[in-house]
Amino acid sequence: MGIFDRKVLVVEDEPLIRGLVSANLEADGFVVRAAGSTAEARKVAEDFDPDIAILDIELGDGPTGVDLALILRRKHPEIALVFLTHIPEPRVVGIDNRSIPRNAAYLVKDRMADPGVLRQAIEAAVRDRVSKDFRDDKNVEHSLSEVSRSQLAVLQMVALGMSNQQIAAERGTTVRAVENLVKRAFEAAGIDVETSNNPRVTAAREFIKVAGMPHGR
Amino acid sequence: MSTLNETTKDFAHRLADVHLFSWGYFGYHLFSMFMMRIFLNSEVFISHFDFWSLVMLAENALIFGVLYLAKRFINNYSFWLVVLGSLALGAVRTYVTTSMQIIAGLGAGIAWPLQLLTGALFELVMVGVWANVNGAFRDHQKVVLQLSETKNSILGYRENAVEILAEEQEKLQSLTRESLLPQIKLIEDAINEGGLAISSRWGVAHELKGLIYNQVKPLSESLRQSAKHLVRPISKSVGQLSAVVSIPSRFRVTNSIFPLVNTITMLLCFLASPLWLLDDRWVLISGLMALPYFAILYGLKKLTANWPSLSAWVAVPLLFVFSMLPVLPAYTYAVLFYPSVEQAALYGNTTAFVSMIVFISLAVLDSFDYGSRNFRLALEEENRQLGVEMTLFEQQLWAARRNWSLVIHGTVQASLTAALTRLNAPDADKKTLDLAKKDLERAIAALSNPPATELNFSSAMKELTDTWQGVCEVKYEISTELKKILARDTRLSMCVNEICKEAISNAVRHGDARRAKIDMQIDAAGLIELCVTNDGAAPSASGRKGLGSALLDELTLDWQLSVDENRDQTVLLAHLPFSGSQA
Repeated sequence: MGIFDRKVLVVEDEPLIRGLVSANLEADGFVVRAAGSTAEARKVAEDFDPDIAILDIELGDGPTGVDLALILRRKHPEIALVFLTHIPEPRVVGIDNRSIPRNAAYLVKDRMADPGVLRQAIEAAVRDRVSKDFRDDKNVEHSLSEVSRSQLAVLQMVALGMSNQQIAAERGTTVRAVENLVKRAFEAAGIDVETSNNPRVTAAREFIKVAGMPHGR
Repeated sequence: MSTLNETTKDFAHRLADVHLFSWGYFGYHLFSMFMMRIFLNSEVFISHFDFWSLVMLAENALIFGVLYLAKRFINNYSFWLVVLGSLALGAVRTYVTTSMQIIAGLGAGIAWPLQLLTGALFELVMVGVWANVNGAFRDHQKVVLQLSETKNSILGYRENAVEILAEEQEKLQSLTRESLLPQIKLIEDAINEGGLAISSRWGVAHELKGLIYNQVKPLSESLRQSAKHLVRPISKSVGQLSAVVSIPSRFRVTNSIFPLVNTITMLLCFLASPLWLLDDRWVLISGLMALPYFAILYGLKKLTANWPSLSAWVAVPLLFVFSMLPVLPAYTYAVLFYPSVEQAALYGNTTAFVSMIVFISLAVLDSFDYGSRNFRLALEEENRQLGVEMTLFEQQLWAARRNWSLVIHGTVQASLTAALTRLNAPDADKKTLDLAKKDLERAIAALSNPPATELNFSSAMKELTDTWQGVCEVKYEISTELKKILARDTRLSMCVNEICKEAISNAVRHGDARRAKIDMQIDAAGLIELCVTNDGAAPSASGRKGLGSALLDELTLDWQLSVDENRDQTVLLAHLPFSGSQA
């Protein structure tokens, strides 16, 4: 059986995208069945016995595409998995990035504009050779991108060596409010307060790395 | 019985951990010795005040010298070390002070064995009382410190609520821009490649970009109001000092009577006072008077056991009367049978006075304990209420974030992807272009209206059970009352649904669960109690880490993951507040 004779299950809650993806894959010679929810996908998969599953991550009120992937792998161990989603990485919607199964491809939907990409990703997943080109979730940059303006301002003060009392005086707020603000700024900057020996130093280092040496006030 | 064992354990632990080399103990010791001498022989004490001052100076120098050395050289203390050490120290102190009395000509007719025994016991009682009172105070302070830290942390969050909202708004706007602008750019390119005639026909993509830059407001006005409400100052709580020190306005008399502790403490007085006030032969008789003393107090405790709580104006004078009654047998016996009525009356008055001091001191200490407990409970309740408000706000924020994420990653991006795919199709014609335009208009509409997501909780749960069927059999039970609450609160049902999804997913992923049961109900405190049990492997020690636990921290008031070893089940128990919950 050639790769284009294979059976593909498309799981996508947006009917428009579901239709478009299915039509494209059918045009490429795949045998396609589509489902709009995880429960429906389970039913379809039992009759259809797919070789490949194209899964969205957010699938409405029920379990996620990542959960469905786990179930499909248990029921159909050989199934090739391709996540096709608008979400740049699972963490954005509260799913651990490590939940993405091994050798599954992860494509953001923007890349569908290039019709060849989905086909290539399927091929890589079927052959168990998913390269970084088809793992868009691993190409997301971090550092201080999650930090808001006010959190950045607090990190700047931390980098300047200011204490919570000094920051509170500077911002005209209470020390406990600053403690909370600093805690959230550390979280947003990905600084683990429990494991880091001195989170304030780590925070200052991260700040200097991204924004350069802070200037005195 | 178990409570008695716990109390004994607590006491033993406090005695082993007693802090004696301190200014507090110094003051307490000095005061106790002073009062003891005043009560036992005020006449001699006052007439030879210089001598007694010297005695007290010498005994405290001795005691605190030994305590300093003990602190310096002994690292680990045990219950028995403290008990035996106190007895020895008491005996040595008595030996030194009594010898000084003899040298000064004030110690005629001293019975050494009794003198040393009462001195040793007195020291032990003082250490025991201090260990318990100071230990209770330190335990109390430790709990209050923890509760205050929690309260400060919650208040810190509340004070930042508006800022948190602004940060969230900023993040969502940035998410919107980052997610949509690249796609819009591609669409514009596709339109431009299609020729000037097409691009001039519709500036929808441009309009969409403008909307994203200038008008996107992911968070609702109600959320802003909630944040403002949280920032408002909370009513000032009762201060610790006034809460603990003040006498309760009403209390039950029986709770202030402690027959055993009173009798043990009074036994010292019964044994020591005849040495000074009567004669040695009366020590045994006086000691035996502790028995009727105990019997009367025990009887009073039983008598008042069913009394309701009384106003402090009635109960406090009553306690004073009760403190005198148990001394009556000793008083009467001494007056009737001791040769000197005057000395017998002095003995009787001394024991009555000491009884009153001991009785009232224990009642006051208990009142402090009662006040401390009430203060801690009030602080806990305050934290709980603040925690409920904070969790409700976090639930609201989470729901808003999720709704917006669904709009962006759902309707809007789907429309843009559809438009882009249509525009890139090699056979695109006028009809295709019109459809692409409609896609973009759909995206504009989704971005312009506040996000609202409807959730049918029953369907969502059915979807959950159906999906996992064959891998993990999921059953769920939900009380009728909760069903009604979830039906009218979409935000709450989203939160509960998300926790259920997360719990089952984790149970299968990390514990390889085959069966799971979800039970949901309103508990006695008026919170939603969500219990998910599964037959999967027990959670690892680091089970609290990760995004799943972050979700639970955000949406619940408290949660815990444990193992029921009897049923071999892993249990997730979480409590969620909801608008209108009693807690």
